[in-house]
Amino acid sequence: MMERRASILLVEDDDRTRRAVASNLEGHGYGVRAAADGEEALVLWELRRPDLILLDLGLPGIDGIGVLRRVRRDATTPVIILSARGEERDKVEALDEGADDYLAKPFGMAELHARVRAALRRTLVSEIDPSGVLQIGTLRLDPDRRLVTVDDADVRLTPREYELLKVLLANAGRVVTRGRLLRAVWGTAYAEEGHYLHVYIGQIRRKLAAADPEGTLSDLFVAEPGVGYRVRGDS
Amino acid sequence: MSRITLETAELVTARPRLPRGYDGAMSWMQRIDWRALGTTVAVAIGALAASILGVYLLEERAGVRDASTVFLLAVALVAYLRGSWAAVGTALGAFLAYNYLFLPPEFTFLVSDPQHVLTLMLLLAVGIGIGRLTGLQRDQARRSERREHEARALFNVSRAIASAKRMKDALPVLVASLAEDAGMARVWIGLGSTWAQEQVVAASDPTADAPGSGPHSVLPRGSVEGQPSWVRLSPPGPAPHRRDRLALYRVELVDGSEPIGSLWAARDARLGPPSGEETRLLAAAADQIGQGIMRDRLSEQATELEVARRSEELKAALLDSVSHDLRTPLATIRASAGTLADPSVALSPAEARSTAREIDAEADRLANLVSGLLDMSRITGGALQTRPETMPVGEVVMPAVQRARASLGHRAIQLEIPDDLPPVAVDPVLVSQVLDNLLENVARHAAADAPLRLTATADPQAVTVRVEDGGPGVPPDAMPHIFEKFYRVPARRGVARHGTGLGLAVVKGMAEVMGGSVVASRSQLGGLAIDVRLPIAVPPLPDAEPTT
Repeated sequence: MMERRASILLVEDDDRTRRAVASNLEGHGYGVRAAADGEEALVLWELRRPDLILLDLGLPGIDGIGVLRRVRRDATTPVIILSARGEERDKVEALDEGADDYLAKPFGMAELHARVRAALRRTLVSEIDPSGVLQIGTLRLDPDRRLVTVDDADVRLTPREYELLKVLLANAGRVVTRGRLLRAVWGTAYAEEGHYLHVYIGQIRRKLAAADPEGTLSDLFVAEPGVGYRVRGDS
Repeated sequence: MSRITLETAELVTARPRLPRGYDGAMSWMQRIDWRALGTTVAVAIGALAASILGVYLLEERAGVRDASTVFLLAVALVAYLRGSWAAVGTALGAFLAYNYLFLPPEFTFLVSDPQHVLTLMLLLAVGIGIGRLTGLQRDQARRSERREHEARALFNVSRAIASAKRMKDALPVLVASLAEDAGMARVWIGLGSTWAQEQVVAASDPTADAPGSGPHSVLPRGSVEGQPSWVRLSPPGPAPHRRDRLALYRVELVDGSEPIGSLWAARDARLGPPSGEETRLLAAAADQIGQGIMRDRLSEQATELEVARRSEELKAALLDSVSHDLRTPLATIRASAGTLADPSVALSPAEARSTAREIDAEADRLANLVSGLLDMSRITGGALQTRPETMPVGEVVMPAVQRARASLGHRAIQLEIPDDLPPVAVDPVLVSQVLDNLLENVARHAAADAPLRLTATADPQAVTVRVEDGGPGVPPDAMPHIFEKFYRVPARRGVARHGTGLGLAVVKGMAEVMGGSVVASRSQLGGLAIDVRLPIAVPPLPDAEPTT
């Protein structure tokens, strides 16, 4: 299916976990480079420029966030955070800093593959439609005309609902943190109304459901409790 | 002790009501009771006047030659009413009056007839005799009455203490009966290491504030034997102005020799210090109250120890349960991994994969248990913080159903979440965990085809989300326990249950942290119904925006 082997940089300080995950990914045909700490990770990043990074947050030396910031200075390479329970705040910070997704430890291999596949597919297809139109299933958002349609029928949204939907669709498949959503839609002085984020999402969900009697969009929004929202990424 | 040196102390002897019939005279020597004296004089004069009238009528009108015995009636009457000394006085008065008024030469104290001298002497002697005898008898009766009263008052104290489980419960009754029996306007009990720092724990008249400082008289310990005497303490500083003119008395409550508080009594200052009996009653009550309070404290300590012991037992039981739950999947994992690693066991690729899947499943079970334990320890440790956000009920329920869809399988799912419900104020992470656990519970314990229903209803304070299923349900006797840590409904025959016994305990803990609550009942679908109440958000909604 893939013309060339996608290369993955796995950054994980626990030897056994690193070995098990690396051999599993290799078994699935990925080219894997593994690093046990932040310094090694950055060296490999400079040398290899992998297609995807699996990044553990709790690293000795330069920590996961440090690695992520360095990577984001140069590239939009997808980064999936591997976080342990109890590191919720670090996880949200990493997503705010531009990580694409996260996976809570302990994770199953099937789950890991699903996330890796989704992230790689995104890099392949999200060289966005030149018209700027965002589309998922029957849902279309045309930024030039500020128009949202489901099966060609208009969906009337308020300005904030529209902005929210646009940010989520533009990042389809990615977790968009609450902070990023609030900044994008309400600007920096979001504190007051940001409180109602869930209310706006609920309203969009209802309006889309009304325009979508077959329910093909019913699972469009995925809530990531305490983190933010994502729109499912398939098309 | 240092307290007394700082304050001026003066000795006030209790007005002793002593035996031997001297009480009237003795008390006048101590402190003249003008009111009592006045009454006595009035009674004596009245009785004498009546006798004089009687004698006049009998001797002058009816022609009785010697009616002086009428005076004896007056003497007896006064003795009966006012005691023997009043009677002796009355006898003297009768002697003088008879002499002055009736014996010739009249209106002089001279007696002409020697016969009359004899009559007079007889009147005086018999009068004093009758007076003393009657008076003694009266005093005797009074004394036994007082003894009976004292005994009854002490009995009241003992009974109040004996009939209450704890001293604390007996105190209100006790202070009320003490106030009455010791002739006090108010009685109260303060606890504290020094009297100025006491906290009132019981008062006979709770509406009046207890004047807890200022000059008062204290009963030194050990002074009860023999002559009880109060020591007056005048603490430095301005004496509080007391409109009601109450005099304060205080008896220390002690544990061994340590003061633990005081029994306070206030009475009308005009009544003078408490009598011997009243003092003894207060002292005896203080003794018993002190002991009772110490008993209370000891038994409280014993209860605390018992609670600590039980909680240790409970912890041990939980540890047992957790160890067992951890060990079971670990045993499977080690056995399976050992099999895979063993070169002498020839496994087909399919067998190897199934063994590995077993390891994966057991590891998943372990991971579940560990997160449950982590949640539980955050709940019980009080480390769980809630950051409430305004969430529409649909945004609470729908994503949870979405997440659980895979594990819920193909069962019928009925959702009744009206759009017009008010939004709730909940922590998105906690509320998700609550619903995830409830849905997982259904997935785990109800058969794969048992229906699931989620409904939401609102009342003025809260939205209630009900999660119910058509599964086997929970037997009535297990119902009260399902939210307890590590409680698992006893398995039916042939049904393996793999719960951690933590899911619902976490649900309850998290719901309560968010200001909500959970209740379990039997569902109309046949299985278990769990109601989660979530507080309504205030203000309910943002201002409406125009649509584009």
